[in-house]
Amino acid sequence: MNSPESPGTPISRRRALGVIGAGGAGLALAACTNTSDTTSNKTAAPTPKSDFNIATSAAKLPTGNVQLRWIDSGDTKAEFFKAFFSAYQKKHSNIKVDYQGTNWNTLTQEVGLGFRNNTVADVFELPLNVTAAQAVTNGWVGAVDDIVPNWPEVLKRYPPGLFANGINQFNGKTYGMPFSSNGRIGSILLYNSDLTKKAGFDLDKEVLSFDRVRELAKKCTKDGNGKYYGVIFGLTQEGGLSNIVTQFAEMSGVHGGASGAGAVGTNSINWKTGQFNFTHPMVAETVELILAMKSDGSVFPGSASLDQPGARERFPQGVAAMIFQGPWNIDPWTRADPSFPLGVAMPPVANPKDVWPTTHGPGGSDTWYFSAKTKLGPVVADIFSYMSTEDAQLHWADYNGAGGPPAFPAASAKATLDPLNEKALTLANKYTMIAPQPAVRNPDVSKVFQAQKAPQPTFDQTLVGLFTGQIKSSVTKALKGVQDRYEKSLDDGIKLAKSRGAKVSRDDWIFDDWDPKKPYAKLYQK
Amino acid sequence: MQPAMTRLTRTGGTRAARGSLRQRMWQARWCYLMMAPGLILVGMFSCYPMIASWYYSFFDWDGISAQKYFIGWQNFRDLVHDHYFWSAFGRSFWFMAVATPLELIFSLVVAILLNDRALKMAPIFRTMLFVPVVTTTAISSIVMSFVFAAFNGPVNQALQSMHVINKPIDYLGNPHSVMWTAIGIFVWKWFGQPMIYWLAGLQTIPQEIYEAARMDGARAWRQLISITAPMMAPFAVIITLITAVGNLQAFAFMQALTNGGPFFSSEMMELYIYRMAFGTASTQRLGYASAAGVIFGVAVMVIAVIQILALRRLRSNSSSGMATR
Repeated sequence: MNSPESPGTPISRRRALGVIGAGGAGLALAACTNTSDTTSNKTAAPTPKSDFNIATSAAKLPTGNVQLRWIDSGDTKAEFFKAFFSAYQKKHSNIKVDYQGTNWNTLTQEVGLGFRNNTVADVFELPLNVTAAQAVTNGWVGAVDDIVPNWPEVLKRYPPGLFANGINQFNGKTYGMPFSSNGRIGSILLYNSDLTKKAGFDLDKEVLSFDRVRELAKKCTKDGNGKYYGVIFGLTQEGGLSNIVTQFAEMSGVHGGASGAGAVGTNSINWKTGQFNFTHPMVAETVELILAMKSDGSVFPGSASLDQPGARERFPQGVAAMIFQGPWNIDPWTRADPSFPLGVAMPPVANPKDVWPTTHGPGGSDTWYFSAKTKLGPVVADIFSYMSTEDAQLHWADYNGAGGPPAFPAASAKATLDPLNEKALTLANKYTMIAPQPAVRNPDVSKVFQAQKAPQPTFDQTLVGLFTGQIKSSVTKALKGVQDRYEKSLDDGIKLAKSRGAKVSRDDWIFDDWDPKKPYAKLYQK
Repeated sequence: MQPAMTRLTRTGGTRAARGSLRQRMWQARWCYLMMAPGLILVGMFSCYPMIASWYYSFFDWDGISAQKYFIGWQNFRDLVHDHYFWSAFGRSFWFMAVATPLELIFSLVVAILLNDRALKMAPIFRTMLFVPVVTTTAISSIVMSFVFAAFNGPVNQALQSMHVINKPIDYLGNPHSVMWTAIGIFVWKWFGQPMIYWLAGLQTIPQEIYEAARMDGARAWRQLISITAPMMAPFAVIITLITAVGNLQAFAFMQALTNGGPFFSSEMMELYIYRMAFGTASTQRLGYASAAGVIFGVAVMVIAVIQILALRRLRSNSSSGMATR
């Protein structure tokens, strides 16, 4: 019998099986990685500029050993909370905090299931498919008024617009805590400055028009010669194109935006008229710009099969010169590769000499709630009280930058950020305004949102259909179809809500005193 | 004995019959006990959700709120007019109709090759070909999305280097190629399962029959169509049923691979139900999704019943054939 070790003889079956088994075991071990933890592969978090100055609040803390469970959507917030909870546990040695900063899919499953089987964490962000109104109605979340002894004083520290009836306040009580502001440019222009400079563009000095961004994308694609392209999108995820279109269109003069998002399109209404914006000529022009970049060949191939995280992962590899996503990407990219030549600029607009602000609703970019069944109300109250101080907000700014601007404008002004975050925050402070929200003026409007049926296809899905060529009609005709579907959806929702006892009408969506260039703060004055 | 049996037949339940049933059940009590955990789990995770979905299909309910509104057959009426529902429905059955024969033929050919006793290391090949079956579906899909990526994907690079194509193809982002690509990946992932079933069936065919046929001068093709095919026919019906029904359940695979895109071109029924149940644009319609699930479930059951009837007919034909001989 040939020895398996003899040269020129075939490997024995036993040896082959042994090698394959060892390889398989190695692969299995390598696969045992928790990939849901979005902070596990981060490089070093920023060093805070000072220690946390955690003041004693009015809450009476427990004296025995307790453990608080806290879950949210992680990313740069996780860096802050890990540092803060470390300091908090040092100050209160009997209080342990089990913090979980995870992705939205995991959070949606865990918190959603936790509501149903009473195992939800003490503090959490709401899953994306659960509204605050639903959480309050079902008794899943508790009122901050009931646990923070000096809540009226704490509330006064916040600027108008962070808290609003029907958003995070219901029946005169506060349920959600927005530690960060909603004032962000969600589809800011993030670019590879080496590639754009090579194409002859200086985006530090120039605000791009639609023609110029198309020209830049084309030039970069030509320079790239197949190695990189002008722009990358992530279209398989809802919002992949509509977020970009609404950003460009609103800053070009489509007042109220046209995203198709929010409570079935609330972020797409001209509040002066109460009508959807999808047939605005500037929306069509913006869509034509995207399609033109595609037909130029300037769009990264495979954008139609990427989701937004997929696009985000590829951009720092130098596959595209531009990406339009949120400023929350700045810190992860620069920390992962400090040498990456990232630049931040205004999104393109139709006329750079006439830039309009982009609007947002009341509330925060992230909002935390606590379980109505928690036994650690005083601990939650203590943490919420600290988070509502300028010290906490300054530290928040250190860690989150422009991706999650602090709720307090004073903290935003005092924060010393890196140049990219500073630029993004400056643009946000200049070009974001709070808009009206019908559910605040008439709480019954939230019953319309619950009764409404989403149109099919949505605005974003229609844009993807136009992009892939599956919708063969003209852009104008396709947008007319979107407008009709959204108008019908809202009208049917109002009719159904009224049949169920809601006191609403289409007039609730009209704010004829709205000035798109001014914050509509009067609705949220305390 | 006969009079006692006649009594049983006429009355359907004499004291003797009840006693014997109880006795039979008592004798088999350990079987029932062993089956109980499985039955309980099936009841909890299959029967209860199925019955609950029939109930919820009559409500306008988002799945979250305490308030549900009874709307009768409205969800079903709306589904009849929902073009996207019928597209997903048709696409699911088209996927099944294309993937099933590909999977069965490919797996049968491989099984026949592996069943050849002259093939050395057959168990190793069998194991390697079965590995995709046991790989986590979502991970396979994600890895394959990289393999077929339009930018730097290995498939595109290979085809471009061989000058088969000039420009990369966006296999998963092009509505004309996404379903074919998905079918190809799906068949690669799952063909190992029917392959094992075929192998089991092939190994029930006595080798003496093949030897006798070879001595009579029958070549491989004649052996295949005169011996292998007829003896594998009963297995084929069962394997086809299992494969076809399994190919209608491609949720995890498709969601990770394409999420139903681009623009619904790869949206199958389960993805449609998921989209309706768990929301897009901030609305969820669990009642509507349940109604869609009910209709789809009935359609799947119809296919299963047709195949079971076909199997019974096949068995009765073969047993009556044997009786005649």
